[in-house]
Amino acid sequence: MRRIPDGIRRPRALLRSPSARLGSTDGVVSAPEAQASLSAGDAQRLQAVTAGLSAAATTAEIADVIVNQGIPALSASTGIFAVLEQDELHFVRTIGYGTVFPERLGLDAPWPIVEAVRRRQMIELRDLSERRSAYGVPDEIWAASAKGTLVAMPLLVGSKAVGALGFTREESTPLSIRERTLVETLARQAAQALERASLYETDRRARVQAEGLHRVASAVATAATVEDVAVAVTTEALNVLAADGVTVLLTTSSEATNAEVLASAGSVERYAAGEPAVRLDADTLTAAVIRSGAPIYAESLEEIAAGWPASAAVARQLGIGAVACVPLHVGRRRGAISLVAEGPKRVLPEERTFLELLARACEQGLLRAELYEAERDAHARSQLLHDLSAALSGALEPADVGNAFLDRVLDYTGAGSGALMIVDADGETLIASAVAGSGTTRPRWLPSLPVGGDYLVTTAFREARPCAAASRAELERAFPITADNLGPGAKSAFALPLVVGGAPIGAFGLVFEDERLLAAEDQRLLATMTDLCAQALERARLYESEHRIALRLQRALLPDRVVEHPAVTIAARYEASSETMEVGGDWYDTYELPDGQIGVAVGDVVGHGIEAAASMGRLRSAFAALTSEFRGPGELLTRLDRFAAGPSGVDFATACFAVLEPQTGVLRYASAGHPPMLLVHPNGESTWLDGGRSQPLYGAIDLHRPEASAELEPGALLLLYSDGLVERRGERLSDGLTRLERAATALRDQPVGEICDRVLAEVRGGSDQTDDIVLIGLRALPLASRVFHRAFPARPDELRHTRAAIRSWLEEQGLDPVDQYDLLLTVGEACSNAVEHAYHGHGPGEVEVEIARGDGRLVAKVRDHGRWRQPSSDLSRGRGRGIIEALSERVSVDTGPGGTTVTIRLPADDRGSS
Amino acid sequence: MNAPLATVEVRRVERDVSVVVVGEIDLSNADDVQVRIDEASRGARAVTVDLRAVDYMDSRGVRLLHDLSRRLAADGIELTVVAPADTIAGEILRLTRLPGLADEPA
Repeated sequence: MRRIPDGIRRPRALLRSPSARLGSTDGVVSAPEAQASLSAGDAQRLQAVTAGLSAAATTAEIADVIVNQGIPALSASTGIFAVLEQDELHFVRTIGYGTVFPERLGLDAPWPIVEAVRRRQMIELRDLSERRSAYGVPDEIWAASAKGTLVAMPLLVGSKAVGALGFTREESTPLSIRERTLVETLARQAAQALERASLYETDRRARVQAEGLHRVASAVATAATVEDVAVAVTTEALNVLAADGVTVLLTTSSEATNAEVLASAGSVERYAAGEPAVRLDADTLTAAVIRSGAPIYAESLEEIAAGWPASAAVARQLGIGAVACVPLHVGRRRGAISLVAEGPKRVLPEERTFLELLARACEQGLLRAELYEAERDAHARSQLLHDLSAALSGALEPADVGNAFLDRVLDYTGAGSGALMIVDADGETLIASAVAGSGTTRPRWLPSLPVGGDYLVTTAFREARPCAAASRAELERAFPITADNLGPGAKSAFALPLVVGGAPIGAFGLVFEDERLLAAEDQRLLATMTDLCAQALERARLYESEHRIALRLQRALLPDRVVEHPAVTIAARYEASSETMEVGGDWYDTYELPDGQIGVAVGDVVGHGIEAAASMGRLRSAFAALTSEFRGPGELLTRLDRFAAGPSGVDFATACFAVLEPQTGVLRYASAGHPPMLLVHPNGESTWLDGGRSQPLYGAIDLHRPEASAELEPGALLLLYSDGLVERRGERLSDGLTRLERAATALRDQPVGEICDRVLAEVRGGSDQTDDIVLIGLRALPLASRVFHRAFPARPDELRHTRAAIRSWLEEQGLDPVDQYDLLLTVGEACSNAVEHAYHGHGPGEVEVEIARGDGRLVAKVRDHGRWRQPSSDLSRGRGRGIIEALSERVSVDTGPGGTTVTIRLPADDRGSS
Repeated sequence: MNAPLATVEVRRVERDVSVVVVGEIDLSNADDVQVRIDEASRGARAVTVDLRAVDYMDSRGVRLLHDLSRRLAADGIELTVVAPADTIAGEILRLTRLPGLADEPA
């Protein structure tokens, strides 16, 4: 119990002022009157009060000035000072009572000081018994007080009470007029000071709040993300309201059952710091605010406990004494701003207003940030889809499609690896079309998976639905084989089916290095990407199959052998374009006409793909049919016009046709819009056969197409070709023709097949071939040194025909086939080798046999255009080579990039069976 | 369809088997001829392969006989190849020096 120090007591003389007189009992004393009853010392004291109050900014400072001056002036032992706040007296200073005096009293409390406020009058009580008889104040208060006179004085501004002032003293003497005047003056000055401080405080708080709101508004306006907004709000709430902790919570969607913490700040971060999210159905204060949408202010632990025992338990644990919680509505999502203080704390009306304004600012900011984020995400997503579409449109092969797709999906999702699987033709197996990613999540083994297997991707494919395993445990439980197949770093996985027109064509799987479940909007985006991919795959598949069909069709429509005639050697080459791998409409054919003449035709149907190949086939058939009643090349092309005009004709085609009379070497030819044939004479001169020219074939019925003629001396070379051979992008046609002429002239002494190969290689010159190419070489042979020539598909059953052809050629040459068995056997060995090894795995190519005689010798060349699997073939080490070497004078094997040529030299006549 | 390049006639006297090949042996039919001779040799004590009527035979035919001789030897079956030096088959067997195969039967 604290006592006023003795030194402060004033001499009683002060109470006896000669000019003292009674003041009015209603406590309102006019200043001149009051001044009149005061002594000079009192005047000094009041001057000190005035000075002190003018410097006092807060309620506590005002109370100190008043109580410290009042106690000595009244010879009092105790002094109390209270301010009225919301119908309660809040005791700012209670000098002399130690700690027993309550902090607050309601206006219904049976205390003298409350009575004084209620009645707006000074109350004076003479002694303890008077106090006890009239009031119900606890004895411990009276025990702490002085036992004599008690005075309680309301602090009034006009008729409004703003506080109260009270003193007790040991002496039971009534207040003198001077003392009464002094108390009244102190009360008046205190009331004015309080009013001034209140106005100032209100103004200051209003300014701080206005600044806070302004800061929040501007922070919110520039905040790009939901988190930025929440941080700005928590910072200002803490600054302005002097709270000890603040949290902003929001549900993630309108259906969510939890509100997540967006941001929190302060020394007591949150009174529910133990749980990161608030369950909306929980029996807690915050949940109640979110549910009801109405703010709750619980200003003491008792208030928290009265409504929300669960919250009170947590609050007690964390030392929280007050909570202010206001609701948030962001679109259809709900949440709250929750502030806590370490002790009990009153939340003043203007603070409540501020908090609710802050909540509105927060809502607007969150809404804007969400829209902004959503827009940004949507933009990123649409950009991603745009990129993917662009990449897919350029992908022709299924593997390119898969890679373009996986690259972007991995980029977007951050997956560790991914695989795109396509179902094979029999529907039994998923085959990896593309695999991307690396590291610990990449599958150990994934070339193909049985559709019926319990893999993640096969399940997604089979059941045509997304499949996910959000954790390693789930992966191992639901898809143990996949878990085993994936690397140990695989923590979660996701698979989607690829569907085209309702039918699944494959599936793709993603593997993550962390445990995760893809958000719904990510899944939707992936589904859209997957659709794009599936369509592109289907496109690629159609393209591939069309290309394959067209290529096969074209190969089937082209002749697989050329005319064999003692008077000529003919070689033909066809090459598909390499750049686009598109099939063109080039064709060629050779004929033995009924009158013994030899015909060669080359043509080009405009267009690419299956249609062009089919047109080419029709045109070639028509050509073959027309040669049966051949009258002349120009006339034949004229009749071809009528075919072209017919219902199954062609739109536009070029063709040239040459007919050789083998006995005379006379060549008749005609060209319908086709590039000119090249004639290379044995002496190295060359001639472009540019006569007999007419328009391309397009169905002109009345056109008469001319023809021209030339002479092929023995050894002369005739080249027919399609424009793909001589046309290059960005180059004049004449350059291509010059190149062809130069190459053919230089090569004129080589075997015809080799001339064709090398002309193709040189004229094309390594540049990308955008069109398909046909090239035919025809050599007129000198009668005396006629050469055997045969080209045949590299198939075992062709070997016997080649032997038969060699036997009949030997007979033509006047040689006994039995005597020449060594030739048959050595050439047979070489052919057999070429058939067996040259085209391994690349379809039947061609094997070419040329046998020439001269100087009592036979020289045989066996050529293929394939690549041997290994250079050390049977021929170079095995029995076949041994047999050839044993029987021939000389043998050489030349292997180059274009194929292998075996040259065998044998004596012609001097061997026979003995 | 082409006519068979070679015919394989099989005669059996108790466990002595005689095989006569007529025609040509090359890459296209060597496997077929081999299968026929293998079938004929099953359960035999001795096998005679007569190649006198072969009018074309290259290294594929030589390999056939080589493989046959090894297999029959492993099964303890005696093999005799009839291919005199002045025949097509005899000449190539001589050229390729397959030991014990080019003998004329007694």
